[in-house]
Amino acid sequence: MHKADILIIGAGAVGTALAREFSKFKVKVIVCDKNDDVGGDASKSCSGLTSTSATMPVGTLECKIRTISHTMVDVLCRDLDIPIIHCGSIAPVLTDDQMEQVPKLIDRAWQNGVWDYEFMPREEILEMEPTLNPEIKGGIYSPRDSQINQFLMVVAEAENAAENGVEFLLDCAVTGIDTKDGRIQRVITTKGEIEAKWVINAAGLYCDDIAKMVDECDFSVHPRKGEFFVLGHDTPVKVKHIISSVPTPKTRGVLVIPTTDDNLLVGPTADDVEDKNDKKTTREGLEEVRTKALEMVPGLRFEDTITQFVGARPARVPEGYNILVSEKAKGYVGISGIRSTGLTASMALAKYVIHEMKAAGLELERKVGWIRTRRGIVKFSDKSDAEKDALIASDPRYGKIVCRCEQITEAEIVQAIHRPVGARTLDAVKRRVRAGMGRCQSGFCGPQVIGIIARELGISEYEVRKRGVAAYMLDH
Amino acid sequence: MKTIDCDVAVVGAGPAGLAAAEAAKSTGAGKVIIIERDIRAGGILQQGIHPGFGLQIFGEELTGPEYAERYMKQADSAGVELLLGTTALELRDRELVCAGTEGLLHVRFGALVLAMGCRERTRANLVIPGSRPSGIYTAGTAQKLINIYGDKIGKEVVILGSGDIGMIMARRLTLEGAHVKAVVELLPFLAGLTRNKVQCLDDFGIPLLLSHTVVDIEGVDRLTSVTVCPVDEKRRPVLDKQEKIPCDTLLLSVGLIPENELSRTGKIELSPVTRGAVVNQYKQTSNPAVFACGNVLHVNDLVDHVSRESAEAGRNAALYAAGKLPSAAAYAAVPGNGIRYVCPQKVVADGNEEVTLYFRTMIPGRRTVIRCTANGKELVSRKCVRTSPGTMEKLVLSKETVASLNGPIEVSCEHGEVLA
Amino acid sequence: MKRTIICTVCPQGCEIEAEFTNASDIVLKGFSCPRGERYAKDECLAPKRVFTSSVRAEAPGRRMLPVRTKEPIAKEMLLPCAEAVRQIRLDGSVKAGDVIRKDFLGTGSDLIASMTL
Repeated sequence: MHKADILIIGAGAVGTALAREFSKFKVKVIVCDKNDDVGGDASKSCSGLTSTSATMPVGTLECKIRTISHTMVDVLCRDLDIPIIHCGSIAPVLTDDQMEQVPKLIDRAWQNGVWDYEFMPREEILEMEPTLNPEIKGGIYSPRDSQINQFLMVVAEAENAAENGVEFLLDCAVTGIDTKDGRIQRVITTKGEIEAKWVINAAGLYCDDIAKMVDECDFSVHPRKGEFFVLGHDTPVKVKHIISSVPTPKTRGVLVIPTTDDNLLVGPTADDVEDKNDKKTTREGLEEVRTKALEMVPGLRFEDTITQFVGARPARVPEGYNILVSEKAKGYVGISGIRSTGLTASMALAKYVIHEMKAAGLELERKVGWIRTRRGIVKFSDKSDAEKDALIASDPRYGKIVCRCEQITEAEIVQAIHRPVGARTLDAVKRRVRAGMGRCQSGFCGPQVIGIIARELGISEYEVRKRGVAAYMLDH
Repeated sequence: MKTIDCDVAVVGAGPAGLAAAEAAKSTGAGKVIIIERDIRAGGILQQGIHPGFGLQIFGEELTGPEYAERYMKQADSAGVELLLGTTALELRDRELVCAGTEGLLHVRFGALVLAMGCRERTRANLVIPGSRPSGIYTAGTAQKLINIYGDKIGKEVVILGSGDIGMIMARRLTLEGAHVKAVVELLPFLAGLTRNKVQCLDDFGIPLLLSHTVVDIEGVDRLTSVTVCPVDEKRRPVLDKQEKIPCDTLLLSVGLIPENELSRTGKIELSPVTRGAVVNQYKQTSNPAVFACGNVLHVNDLVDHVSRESAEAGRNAALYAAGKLPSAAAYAAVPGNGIRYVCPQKVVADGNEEVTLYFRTMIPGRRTVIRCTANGKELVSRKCVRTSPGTMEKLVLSKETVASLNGPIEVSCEHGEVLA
Repeated sequence: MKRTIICTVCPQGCEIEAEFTNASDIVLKGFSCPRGERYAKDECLAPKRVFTSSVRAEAPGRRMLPVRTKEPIAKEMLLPCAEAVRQIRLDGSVKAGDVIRKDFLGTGSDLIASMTL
């Protein structure tokens, strides 16, 4: 039996931001997640865009929280050593219809306090981004849109939270919540029962399933599926800015994004589906991404794709951010409707949720000695000759290149496994240090990484998983 | 940080690197070093435990490890130095930066031979839609897991691609007790060698589905099924004829790509077709001190060809380091009708010795005439009983022909009967 | 009996037409070398293959030692050999060519190591 003051269900962007925020106080916090790793579903496979609220519906809670949160991103990245590139975004205007939208978009951005969201003429845009379709009529430039390493952001927050005493229970799915006399009593999970005073539902795509357990579900959530391509470092045509379609109310459309790892991320689609397990790319979806991206950046070379994947944004019906501090089941806090904006919004959202909980009687006392900063794993391939030599002298495993595509060393992989909230699967290693994220997609290093994980965790190679509960690498 | 000076440095101790290093040494190079990231020499041959290597060079059927050991012995007795557990990170001007557990190592060379081999194309390169479960391997990864680590990878297997490693793994998995349900090939003809179809598929009754592809992959955690579908003459799937095959493992044997990361760091010019370096008959790249051979240059069908070509590269590297490699005007060797690529891409008209042009045809055929022409005039031609894209073909230009070149040459082919 | 045999002696892959009722009346057409002729004859009467596999053996960076039959063996013995080879475990150093099992499973061929560990 585990005991906590605060139990957070879901270790995505929202859950880990909350965990870090709570770790400043004298409370026992547990985060549980059904997955083998932090990063949730939507957070780890989103576009990684952290943007201003230019295109947000005016006056909504979502717009308010996101606007505030966006100002906190840089400090978070500085404190937790999270890769971010301040590349800005350009939405090329291709059609007359889109041109007609421009004044409305700029007006809305103005109302949302984004005063540097500007239309620029064709020549100026093409000079900034020469890879764009020369037939554009102009473009909207949004200088403060940035690209963050979305997965390392969640890992960094989780590591920092763990260092400050938060406990993470992974591979731990919630199956029921017991209440007694109108109060939350305990949460039943696949790893046993957890007694908690407060239970925060940050389960994203699955938050309706959790909400039903306390009979606080007057909404539904379904996945809005987004299909992506990732192009390798060597692809000849690369963009300097985030290139986005002229936004529609539902989505920003297809984007071409330079990532913090020097890849190109191209996507997503936005298809509402029913099955929450549907992570399948489709012929049609990928073709749609390709066509739309090529309209904006005609030179993109899709032969250089190193992987394709699906991200599932949680789409709430009815729409909108919803923070519920339950009256019916005291101690229950439901967070829903966060959709694709959670990455940017998570920092302010965490503060907002805690603020609401305080209003409902939560008392928090500041901890002494809270650790504000965290450093990432030192990346061998980024270093100078002298630094590389020194790294190998400090740990000879830095001299063993395991992933040849990304030049990732055994030392980095071992650190990824042994850090707080460490990696236990191939995908988790890959997301932390990029081993297997290159052109050969772990064809070369996969067998070695399986061996390293087994050795470091003291398990059989047959127990090593790609991810999830049963995605065993070898014949199980 | 340590620095080593040598006459010829070789990157990779696979069949290409071993042959090149031995030849460099035999040509008179003083200090010859091979940089190898593995803890053993032999490269990919270590996991190719099946027979069929060395028929051309040794006149007998060896396994991969046996073939490698013969070259390891030759290199060793020639006095080649082997630096194992060392990865070449970056090619600079006349210097390689390498990493090993002892620290960073700078290798300064008179000439360099690139012999890094190739890697396998992945599912992502093919853009196969579906989910991303575990249980999907490239054939070579599966080969390593089974033959080197002794792991079991799955029970019910589908193989996409009729490349040689895929077919060889079909046999290996069958012998290991797995059930190989089908080998699926997009093209209307076999990608690998016919002998592998006979010995690896036909011997065990494994069906080969030509003009078929995989259109869907299912499985949330582990793979549960793939959907296989015939394709029309434009290689578009005929979706109403699709069939779902339950399986827990999918192997991909869909082609190899030269591994030229290191070459890129040295700004070596690469061919968009072979994806290897652009070379002349000396296997000399756009950097005159840098040579390339084996599968890093172009993907070969037989290791025997790799060894021969690499020995030439090693010898020429030694001559270059000694300042003895002749130079003269170079002319392009280009693919003409029915030919995918020609390697070397340039011929230096020095006339010191004959020049072998290696190339591959686009489609299989019978009674094929292959010819090399200059200005429409035939230089040399040959008639083949059969040709196929899975098999490398060659033509030899005589010394005299090479000396008389004064413009680009073209290789083309004409099939008596098209087999596609 | 009429059969088409694709020769696997070399990568050329000659298609050899064979017609026969018993061992003494085999008529072959389409081979281009004596080795091919011999191969086609064997394929008609008693097809043979070199068996290769690997056996458990601990060495740095690997857990398997590649092995082969020294000579080609009867094709139908491939699966029984694969089964038997799984039971073998070696320790200590081995040289390529060392005999692991004499007259392996009565095939008439020794099982030998094909790598030096």
